[in-house]
Amino acid sequence: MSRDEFERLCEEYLKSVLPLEQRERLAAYLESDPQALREFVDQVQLHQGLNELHAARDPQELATSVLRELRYAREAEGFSRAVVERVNSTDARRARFRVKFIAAAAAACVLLSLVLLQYSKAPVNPPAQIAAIMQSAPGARLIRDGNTVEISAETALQNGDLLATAGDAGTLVELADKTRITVGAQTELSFTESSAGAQLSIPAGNIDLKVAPQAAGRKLSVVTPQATAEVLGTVFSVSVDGSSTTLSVSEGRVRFTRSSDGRQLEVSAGQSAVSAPDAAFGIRESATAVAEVKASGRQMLFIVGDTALNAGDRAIAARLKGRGDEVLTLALNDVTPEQISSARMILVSSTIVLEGDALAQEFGRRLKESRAAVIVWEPRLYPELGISAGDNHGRDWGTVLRTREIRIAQQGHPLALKRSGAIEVTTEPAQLSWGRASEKATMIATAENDPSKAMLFVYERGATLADGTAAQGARGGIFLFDTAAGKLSATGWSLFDALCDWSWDRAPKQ
Amino acid sequence: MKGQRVLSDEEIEQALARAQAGDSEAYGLVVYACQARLRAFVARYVLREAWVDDIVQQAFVTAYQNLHKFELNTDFPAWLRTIAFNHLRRELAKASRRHDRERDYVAELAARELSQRLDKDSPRDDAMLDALRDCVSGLPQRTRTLLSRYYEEGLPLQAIAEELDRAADGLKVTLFRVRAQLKACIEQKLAAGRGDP
Repeated sequence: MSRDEFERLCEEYLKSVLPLEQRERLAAYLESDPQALREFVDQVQLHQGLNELHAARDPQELATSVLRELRYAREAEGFSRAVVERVNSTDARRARFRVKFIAAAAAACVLLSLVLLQYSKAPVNPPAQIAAIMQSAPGARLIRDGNTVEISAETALQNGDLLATAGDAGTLVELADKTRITVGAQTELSFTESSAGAQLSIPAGNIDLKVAPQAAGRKLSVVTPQATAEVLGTVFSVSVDGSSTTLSVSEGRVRFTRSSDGRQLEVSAGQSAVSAPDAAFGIRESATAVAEVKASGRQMLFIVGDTALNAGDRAIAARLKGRGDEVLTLALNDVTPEQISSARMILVSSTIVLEGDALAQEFGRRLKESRAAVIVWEPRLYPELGISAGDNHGRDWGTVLRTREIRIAQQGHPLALKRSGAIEVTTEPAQLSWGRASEKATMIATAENDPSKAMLFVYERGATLADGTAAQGARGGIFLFDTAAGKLSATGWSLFDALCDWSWDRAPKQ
Repeated sequence: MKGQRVLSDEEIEQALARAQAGDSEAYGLVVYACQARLRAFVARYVLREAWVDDIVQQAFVTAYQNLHKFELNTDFPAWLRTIAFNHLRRELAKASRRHDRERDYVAELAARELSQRLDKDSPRDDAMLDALRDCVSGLPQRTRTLLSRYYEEGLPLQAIAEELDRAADGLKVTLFRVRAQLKACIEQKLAAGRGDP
């Protein structure tokens, strides 16, 4: 590699625009030349340093964020206790708790604002009016500094105000940016405004929001005892019921953070998510969004690396949804052993990142033991599942770069869809995965130019796997890899659908 | 980092004392005042910019949770960097054993090297940011414009190349060499600061 080329590749890597093949060349070069690696890391360090030196940041944003984290950590425990108390308490006791919470929240917000403003170089006075009550349902109360304030037409809301509704829904609030909030019955909602944006805290009840586009650097967040929803421009609802918060998104996207561990989901239109101690923290398709699609009755787990889905996983989720399948999409780190053992069908994307052999082995072991029908396109998992012969990269599993074609190996098989020879499964060149399946596998398709590389293959339940054990459930390996599903041709999708149908037919009955 | 008011050491100590007494809002001031230098420290050991935010936030939260162990009137920023150091070490250890050859083996190699450097460097060493700032200010105007367009305004290289009437590939090489030049300059300044010959 010439010096100029090395320097150019380094720059492209730092900007995250280095194509895979070039990245592999750079990696090989760095591995072979320790001096080049040191130089490269010098570049990384200087690049990040220059980023920091030049970036414009609002120091108040981090301060607010850290304080919020600390507050959640304290309140998580307090709220658990409070929820139990609320369930068991009388109305009077509940009211006292509310007033205490209201006063504490208001005091904390006001104090924080004062402290930060005092020390800010260019203090910004928050607007006296941050929102207005446009319509009030019977029994709604506005509490300011612990005192009840009468609500009249277009009552202005100030920082730290708390709105509490009674048995009727329909109270309507409009924020200064024209975001509209419909407040449900038996709901408590407090308002905090800072330069970082508006924050709505909802310890109980439910709200529907139609969020106006947020100005640059501002975001609207909705905080509940269990989670935080950060708006990325959208229409959504938040419902708090005891120890559970449910987010449903109608338009746009919302970042949903579970308070107990900071895990995040990006929930898109037509999806929902729940934060509760006994619920899987994953993305669910909203019932309203799939109402027009005839439900297939199939339920499946879709295990991915990150629920902020990449193009490939997004395409798969949309395909399954379009088929009427009920899909729970979970990040690998959030999957429990019980979910694996109780699922009927599991799809595992190559976007999962297996950090170290122990986790890979543990996940692979549980998946291998599961009676569910499993479809996998992470080839590094093939050895753990016993569906390929060994774990040597390049010999037992790997990928083919920039290809569109696979070759049908068994044209009479139903999964081959009466195709033969080389077929195009993507509309543009893509990276496709393969494994070295055993002779006990049913080989449907291989790499276009190498019959030893299995690209679509299955094992029936009870069949002898490559490692000599019996398959606990139907197993399938498919050529998809990372973003390939985003480029699938109609033929490619037909093969995927056929494999899903074949697998579901073999899924355990409940 | 721009526009950030620098609090005096005394103001930070007062805020820390209040935070130790349970006033978490006072801790907001500490975060406000100390974050820029902590970010600069963390940025030296990360592969991705997004890590900086995560690790800095984690460090401040951990520091608060252990604030009772901090001795007032000692070096809080250094104590904070030690906490960030531990978070960094864990992240780099994870990144360097991903066995992810197909996707980003470059990152894996770099994480191992960064991890070694982290172990060698002292979290008490806080002179790097000032040295970098000094070195950047000593660059020719044209080079400073390049860095400003690239890092501050986030312009694509192609746009900068057109503005500066240069080829984009040539600018990539230039950026590499400017950073190498800055590295040499920083080492020189740090050595002078230590009184090395």
